[in-house]
Amino acid sequence: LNKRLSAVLGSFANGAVTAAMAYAFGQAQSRSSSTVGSTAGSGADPVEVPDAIHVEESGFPTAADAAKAAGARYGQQGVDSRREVQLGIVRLGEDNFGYLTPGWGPEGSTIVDFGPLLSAYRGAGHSPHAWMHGHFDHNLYFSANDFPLVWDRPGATYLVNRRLEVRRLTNQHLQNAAKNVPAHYPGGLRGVQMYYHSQGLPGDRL
Amino acid sequence: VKLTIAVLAAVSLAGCSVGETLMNDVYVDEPSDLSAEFVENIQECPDAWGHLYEEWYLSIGGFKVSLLDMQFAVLDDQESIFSQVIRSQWEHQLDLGMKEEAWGRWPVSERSFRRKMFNAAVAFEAYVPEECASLSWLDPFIWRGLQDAGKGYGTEFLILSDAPRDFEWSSPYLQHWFLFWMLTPHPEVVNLMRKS
Repeated sequence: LNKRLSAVLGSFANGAVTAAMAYAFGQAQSRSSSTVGSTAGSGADPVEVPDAIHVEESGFPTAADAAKAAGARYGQQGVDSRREVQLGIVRLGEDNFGYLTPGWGPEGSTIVDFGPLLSAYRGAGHSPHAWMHGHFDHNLYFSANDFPLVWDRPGATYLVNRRLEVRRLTNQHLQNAAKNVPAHYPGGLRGVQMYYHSQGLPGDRL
Repeated sequence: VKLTIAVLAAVSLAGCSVGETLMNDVYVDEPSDLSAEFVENIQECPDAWGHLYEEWYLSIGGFKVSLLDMQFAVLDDQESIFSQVIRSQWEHQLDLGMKEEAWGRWPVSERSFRRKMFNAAVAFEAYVPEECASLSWLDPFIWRGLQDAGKGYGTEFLILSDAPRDFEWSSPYLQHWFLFWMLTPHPEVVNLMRKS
């Protein structure tokens, strides 16, 4: 097993060592039908809501500028902690946008219910202009599961990925993408989600 | 004419990346719809798939150390809808004649991935709300399962023993590999299904 473990560890690069170790054990125990892991869950994981909510930074001329600032501030933190950042971008006046204190998904979770954070923002007197979240994993684009945020809806949603790129997705992106969906797919959002499941959509890089 | 074609080609190349538009200059910002009703509605799909996944997870007794072992568990599982739908997908692939060494390879073509996910989505349509048909909703739950399984070894996530070694695995590649090959019966499973 040690020899095999060394070989597998050697074949992985850049921080995949822990996963490689699991792989090695998996190799050693294959066909044993042993079960690993013991928990199951359902639905999206709840966001962790901060105790106090503020406008963290403001004075940005556009929502996109506020998103870029929030991405620069929290993007790496999300990658390091393997947690999805979730936050609202607010409009405070003419040419004045800001971003609110973020909430965080549970460690490792790639599906986060941001509803409680939005409620907390409203409770604190803030009505977000747009929503932003982070991808700590290798999904650099908006995933198909992000599409409902803007499908047939006004405004934009923002993403910061593990390369700390900040991206913007709008309904227009989805409508453009829908034109490429083959005719035998279902129409509307689900067809676009099905067709772009693998790669997602890049939106605009800001 | 050549100049026109060259200009058109350059413009096309600059803007043709799917879903990526040259909107930076023309985008007019509007407030998003973040009404409570909308936010509640977008939880419908994760909830629907989460219930299907959880029923399956419990019914097969959790993740195994290999995808082949998981396919054996799906063969044995007569309880969950999820296993039932997977087996229905396998039924259509019994005559493909796939060789053991080809099973589980990665990456596969985008076309193959899309075809496999499309067929499965059609099969799952009866069990989730119509607007939730995309199997992309499964990705986070498969990831959750692989992470939970990894905890058994003190690792961040489990790479099943029959996943190719020459790949730097992480989310979302691992989920996509898992889904594609879970929906493709291993030759040993094909033999068992033929015998039964």
